[in-house]
Amino acid sequence: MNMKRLFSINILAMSLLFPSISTAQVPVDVSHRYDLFQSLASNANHIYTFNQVPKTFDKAEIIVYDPEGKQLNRFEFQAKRGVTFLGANTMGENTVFKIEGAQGYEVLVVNKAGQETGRRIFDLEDKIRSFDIVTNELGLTAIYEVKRKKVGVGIVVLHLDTKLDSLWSYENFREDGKYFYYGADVNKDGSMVMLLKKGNTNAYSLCLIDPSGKEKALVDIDIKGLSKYSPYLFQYHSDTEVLLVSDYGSTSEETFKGYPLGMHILKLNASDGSEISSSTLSFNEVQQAVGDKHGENNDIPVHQVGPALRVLDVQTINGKATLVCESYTISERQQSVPSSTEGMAPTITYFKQVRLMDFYLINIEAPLTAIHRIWKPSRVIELEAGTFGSSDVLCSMLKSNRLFSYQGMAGDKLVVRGYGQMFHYFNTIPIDHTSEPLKNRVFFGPKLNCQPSQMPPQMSYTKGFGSSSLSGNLTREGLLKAGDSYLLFNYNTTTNQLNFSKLKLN
Amino acid sequence: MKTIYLTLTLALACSQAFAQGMKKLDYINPAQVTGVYNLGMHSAVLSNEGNRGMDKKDIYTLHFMDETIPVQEFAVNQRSTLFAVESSKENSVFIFNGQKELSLVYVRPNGNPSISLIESPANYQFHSLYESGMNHDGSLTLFRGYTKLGKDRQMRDSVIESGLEFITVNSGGKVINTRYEKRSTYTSDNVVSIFPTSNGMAYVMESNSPKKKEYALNLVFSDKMGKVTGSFLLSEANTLFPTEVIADNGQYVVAGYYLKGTIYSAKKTEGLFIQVLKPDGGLIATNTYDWDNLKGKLKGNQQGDYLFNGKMNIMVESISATDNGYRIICESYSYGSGVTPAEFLIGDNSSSSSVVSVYDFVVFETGKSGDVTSVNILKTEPCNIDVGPRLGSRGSLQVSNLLKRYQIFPYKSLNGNKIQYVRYKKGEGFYAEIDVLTGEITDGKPVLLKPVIVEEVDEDYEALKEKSKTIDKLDRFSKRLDNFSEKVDEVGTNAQYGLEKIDRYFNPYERMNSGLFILEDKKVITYLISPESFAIYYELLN
Repeated sequence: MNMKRLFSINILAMSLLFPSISTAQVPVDVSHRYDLFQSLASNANHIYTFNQVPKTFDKAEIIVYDPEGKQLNRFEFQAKRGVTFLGANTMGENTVFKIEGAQGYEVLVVNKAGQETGRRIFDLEDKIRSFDIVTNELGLTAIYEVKRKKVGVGIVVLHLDTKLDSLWSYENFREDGKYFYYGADVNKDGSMVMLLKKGNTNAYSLCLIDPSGKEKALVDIDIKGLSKYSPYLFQYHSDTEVLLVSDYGSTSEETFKGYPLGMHILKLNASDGSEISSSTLSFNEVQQAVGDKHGENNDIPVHQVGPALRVLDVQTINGKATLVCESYTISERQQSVPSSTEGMAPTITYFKQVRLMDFYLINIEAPLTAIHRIWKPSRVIELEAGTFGSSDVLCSMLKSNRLFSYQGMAGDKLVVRGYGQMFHYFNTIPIDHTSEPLKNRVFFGPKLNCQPSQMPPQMSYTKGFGSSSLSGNLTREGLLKAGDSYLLFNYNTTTNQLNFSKLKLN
Repeated sequence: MKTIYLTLTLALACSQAFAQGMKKLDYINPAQVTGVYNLGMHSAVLSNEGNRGMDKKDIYTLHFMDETIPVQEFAVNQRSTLFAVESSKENSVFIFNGQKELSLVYVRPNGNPSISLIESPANYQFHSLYESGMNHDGSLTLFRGYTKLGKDRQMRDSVIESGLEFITVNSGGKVINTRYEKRSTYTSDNVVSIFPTSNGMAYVMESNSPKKKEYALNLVFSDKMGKVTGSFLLSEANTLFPTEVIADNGQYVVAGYYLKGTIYSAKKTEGLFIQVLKPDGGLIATNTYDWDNLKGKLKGNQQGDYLFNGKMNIMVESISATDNGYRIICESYSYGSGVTPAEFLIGDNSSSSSVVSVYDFVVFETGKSGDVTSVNILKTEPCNIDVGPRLGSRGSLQVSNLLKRYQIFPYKSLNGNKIQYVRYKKGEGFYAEIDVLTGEITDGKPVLLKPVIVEEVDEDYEALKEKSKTIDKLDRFSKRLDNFSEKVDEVGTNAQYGLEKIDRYFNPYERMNSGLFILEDKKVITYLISPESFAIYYELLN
């Protein structure tokens, strides 16, 4: 190509590009070329992506960035059956990556500078049914749910120091049944707590282990006869208390349909597992207290069953431990796709629609008496979840993909994301407000793939995700909390660029 | 080398973009846009953000077409509908008709919106507004019907009184006067048009009683507090129909056309009238001129046979004070079926549309008592406005009043001695100024913005295209096809124009995606709502 042609093409390209650059509300700080972008997440130490290596069938890579989006290192894994990324934890200033590869479960420890400091394969003679790790500054604890021949299904725990050397192990197999692993957390001093499900029953046990690996207590949890009990938040609330938040009940008798009727908030003693406080919060009661109403005297609830609340964070607000919740309802739709083969029945695809609504700040000590509701525009996330996918599974998936509106706190403001004017946006809401200030929204990314003519406008903000959504990472854009700051990421599918923008939210 | 070129081209692109002066409000969903409005010194886009069930409010965001003014937000009671937007230099108010109340939303560029609610008294049924007007000082006059409820002899709910309610609101949003005019059983009263003046409000009010076969048209004056100071009967031997009223030195100067019969029955206008009235309605001077009369007052050697033949109408657009009296600027127009000879020849003459053809500006100079001293015709290109079948079924005078109200006539404003106007030709509008004294016309600037829609490109594909001769050829072939298609469209448009001769279409029931405002400082701003790029483009033309 001669220079004259290059010059004219450049003029055209740049004059076309200029308006978009000048009017973007969020300028791009760092940009990386990505031919095959699959998933992205962050913790206090790093931002990381996991994707297949382009033009290979058996290789995958983790690319590690610092909290500002500068690339630090990349790690490649190979397995003929594929490599699965299971997540990452922080271990002091290190990040522990957890994968399932050719040799089974594996962890990779990467320091702040992105250098590998340790790697270990986790294998057992028993058949491993599930694998998880919990970490603190002192080390790493691996938890296996295993099936042991002639013994049954139980739990094996292995504790390692920061150099990945084994320190102690613990195992627990029930004599009269199975133990299923449900969740765990570790304290600063190395004390550990596990939530175990007692077989396929509606009963749970709490297992407390001291820093040396000795069992402190194994107690049953009183769920007060609540049906369809589904714990989802399990963590140390303080050095002496453990917090367990669960859903109970369902709006539908059918499995995998409907959404929960209430929330059970349980505080337990971290030394002996005894109950400190227990309260149930019926979503109908919440609606009655602060929900939408209509009618002459403003007394008829809008929803037949109050929208469910999902706890997304626990924060100290005005000196009080507060659950940050987002309300939602779930509905289903099905779509019939005619078969390409003549005479064959059409394929019916089932979609679950999660309508995300308002924020509720709930004081743990007095859940029903101190509810602060913050309105925001609702938005619908549609997932091709088939006929399966309980509300708990859907909510977990939304949370891991940062698709809930709540993204974290910045000072005394909630950091939120949403859809408005057909675009993604982020915003902050002071916690003493009762509604989201829409005038402050900052829009980003390409316009949403939905019908602009559909009315009323906000109803059309349905973000749909395609097939196999139950297993994958869904988002191509969103907010990341990296350290104390927030970073906006946006994968541009046209230019194949992963863009990072550092945000100033206060 | 490539870097140098890139930097150079970036700089060029920047300078090109600034030279164009077109700006963009990004992230606006056209489906949510309620409208684009003139807010005195600014213009802004109102966007409906949906309903907030928590407190039963509809939320709106206001996006100013000025990058220095941040987005504003307000909420009104749910199911309120936007009735009108009134503005003066310092004040702008969005007026909403609610279910049980009126909401007045006052917006200022450097402050948060404030809302005033006007609720009906306990024993009055709520009525929506049907007319409003704002004075230069920001005071607002609102017109609506009223129904007073009481009990009949059997103590059942019953209407005991009804009529028109006049509400005066000061610039701070406080109601300073409410006046009820009781309607007699057989009469229907209606405010036809209103004229904000520096004295207060003037409005034309009709009383129609078909049963008694009575019709009266009155010009009513009220002061800034909303108190009626006087009225003048317009429907005597002839019906005088004012289309412009100003206050000057405490007196009212009124100009318009006069008719034989009422506005509903008259087929044509008879001539021009100019009156000077006292605030109490007393007549100081009256002048009526039939079209023949006016021909004799034409300046220089101008011929007025075409304009002043009785078939042509004159719309008074502005009255301004001069050293010797007043200058009255009018537009000449005619009203017809719009069937052109070409359409008639090919047999396509079944259209139910009507067409208003607008011709030249006519400037009348008068003395202090409104006596015409000279007439000057300022020639401009004619423009045909198709008003469609829905409006076409109305009378010609009603249609012309509607066109004036929606500012569809070419005249937009008077800036010193220059008329600011927009003339449409083949669907494209051009903004220009014409000197009232010399008739000199400035170069027309296109009103319709034509932004370049940005499309991002994949660098890999671009690189591949540069290397591949086949893709390059296909690309060029595609461009040629696009050019051909454009040319075919142009030929089609020209052929259609050749037959129909329609320069512009107007439908008051349809939101326009483009438009133009003349702000209080006489700046001209034009805008375009772009559904493709989810943005609003705007540009100052002067």
